[in-house]
Amino acid sequence: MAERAPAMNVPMQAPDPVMLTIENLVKHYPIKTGAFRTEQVRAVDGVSLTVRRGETLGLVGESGCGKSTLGRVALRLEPPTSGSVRFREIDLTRLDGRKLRRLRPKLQMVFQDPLGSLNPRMKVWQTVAEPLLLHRLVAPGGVRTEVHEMFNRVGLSDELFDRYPHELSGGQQQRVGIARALAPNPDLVVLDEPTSALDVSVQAKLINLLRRLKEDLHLTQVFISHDLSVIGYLTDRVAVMYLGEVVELGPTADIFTEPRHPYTGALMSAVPGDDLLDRKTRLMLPGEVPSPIKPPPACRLAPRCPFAKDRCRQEKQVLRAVGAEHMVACWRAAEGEISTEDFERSRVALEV
Amino acid sequence: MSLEIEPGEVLGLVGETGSGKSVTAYSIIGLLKQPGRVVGGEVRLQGRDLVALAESELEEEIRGKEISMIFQNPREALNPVITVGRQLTQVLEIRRGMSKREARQEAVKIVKSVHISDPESRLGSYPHQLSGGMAQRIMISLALSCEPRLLIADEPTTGLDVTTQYQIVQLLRELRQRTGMAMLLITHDLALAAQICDRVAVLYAGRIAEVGRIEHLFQSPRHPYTKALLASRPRLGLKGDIVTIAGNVANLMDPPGGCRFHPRCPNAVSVCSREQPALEPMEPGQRVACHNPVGVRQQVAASG
Repeated sequence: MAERAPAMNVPMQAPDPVMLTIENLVKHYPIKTGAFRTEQVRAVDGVSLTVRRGETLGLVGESGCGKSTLGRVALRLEPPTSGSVRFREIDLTRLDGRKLRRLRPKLQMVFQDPLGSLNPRMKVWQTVAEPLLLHRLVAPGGVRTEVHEMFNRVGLSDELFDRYPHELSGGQQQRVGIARALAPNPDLVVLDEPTSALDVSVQAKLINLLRRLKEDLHLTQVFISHDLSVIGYLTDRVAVMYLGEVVELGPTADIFTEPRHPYTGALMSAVPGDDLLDRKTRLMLPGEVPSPIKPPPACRLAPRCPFAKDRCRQEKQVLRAVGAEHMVACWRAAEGEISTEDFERSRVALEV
Repeated sequence: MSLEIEPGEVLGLVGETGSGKSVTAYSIIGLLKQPGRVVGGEVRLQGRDLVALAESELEEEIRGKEISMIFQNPREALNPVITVGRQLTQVLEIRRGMSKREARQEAVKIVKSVHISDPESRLGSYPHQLSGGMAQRIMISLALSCEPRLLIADEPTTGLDVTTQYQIVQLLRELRQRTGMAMLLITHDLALAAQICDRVAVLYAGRIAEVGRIEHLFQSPRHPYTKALLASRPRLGLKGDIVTIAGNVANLMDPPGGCRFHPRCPNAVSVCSREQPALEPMEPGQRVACHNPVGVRQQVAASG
């Protein structure tokens, strides 16, 4: 709800229609912590987001922040604990299996581990053809032509048609994964760390491909990555997650150049600049990310935050507008007590 | 492949999968997995050839004592069924001949020196109870326990969270300053190398493409591969395509003749496919294996 408030302040041209609406989404996983005790891992804990048509939303955060879980629940690969996910006007959380299956071609995912996500017993062209045949999107006679076109689109040579996944390089495997996801002409694609397992030079080519596909096909994407350089290059808006919550949300350029949440400030101070040799200073957060089983009660960053006050340890933080489309879950930032300049001033250098 | 590391120096081995960076490091301490083996050459540690040593001598005198190693997955490298404190005191008792009590005191001291708060209770933990950053600190404690002269760090921050990575980088730099040990950092991450190394060797397909002081390599790369690697980083606000390297990484079963990079090289000339270039000194101070290096003028044009 709150998330849409600032959009109303933006006049003129009608914004692209909303493709995905996530409201108060919660996903807890029970784990056994003793013979008779189970506790809840609060992987995603009350997230609200929208993704507009043609937009790429980046989800960033450290391991265990819930970004991958959020991606999977958004596509209804897993049911949420509570909250809702709407694809266009359809509530995915209430669909039965049959109706959900019919929607599947429209909702696609690309995974981090290309080899692990491809069927080892299928030739790669069959892997790409499978969703087309399964959902009867093309006649069996026309499927090879269709796959050929997809191969072309993602820069795979036809010579690889009859190969098995293990015979391909990591970059080629990931291209097959992308071809399979795009073959059914999806309305929404979630990409979970699609370039993270690849070498620098292979990664660069894949990133170029993803950027071109996004432009050519006007794709709507959720791009999950811990690699901030990739996020900065490929996304339109960014949601920063910490311990199951979105702590900041806004246009990519704003998030990178004017982070408002201290956690975002710390992440951004770690992004390598143009000059790699600039041994730049960082905004240090002491300690490590706490367990999502027992997250800190009020603001979840408070125990590590150099700017924390008593109120931060008492009051749960919600997203509040700090600019057009820019929201932050930190009362000190929202009330103008701390800003990007304070993060700059609090940076420390390597002490050598 | 020839490299040397001075005492107190941090040398980075930078390269992609299959470049030979890990093989080089594992060869140094004789940990190559079968059927891999060192076919020729020497590894000298202060004048002593390690390749000529028997396995027992390596184990007794070198590994963990003179040369220690830390890995990418610290939790997997630690023994899962013994407390980390016991793992540390065992090393101190066996390797440094300490009594149980001395070892315990020394363990607390070492663990404090890597900035683990509440060392007494941490030492009682099992590896699975530690976070990634904490496990890496324990791993570093173990590596430091015998005061090695050389620390080999194989992707020590890969897999750690961004906010934790920086803490480990800072710790490694501080330790090197304090102990004077040399460090060999193996990484694919150019930004990490830039944060911590004095010198860098860029490897391609098992050979050194370029080696020298980090500011020389990063500001004026002369090997086309180094230059391309540096250029192929995505960044905020970058318009258009990222610069990429044509083709794929050389197949080491059947590497191309001459310079192994020549089929992918924008600077390749006819001699490149015939003759393997030797590492030679070049301006502004590095050594480069290239028949047709990136010119200093070309640099200016590219960066301007």
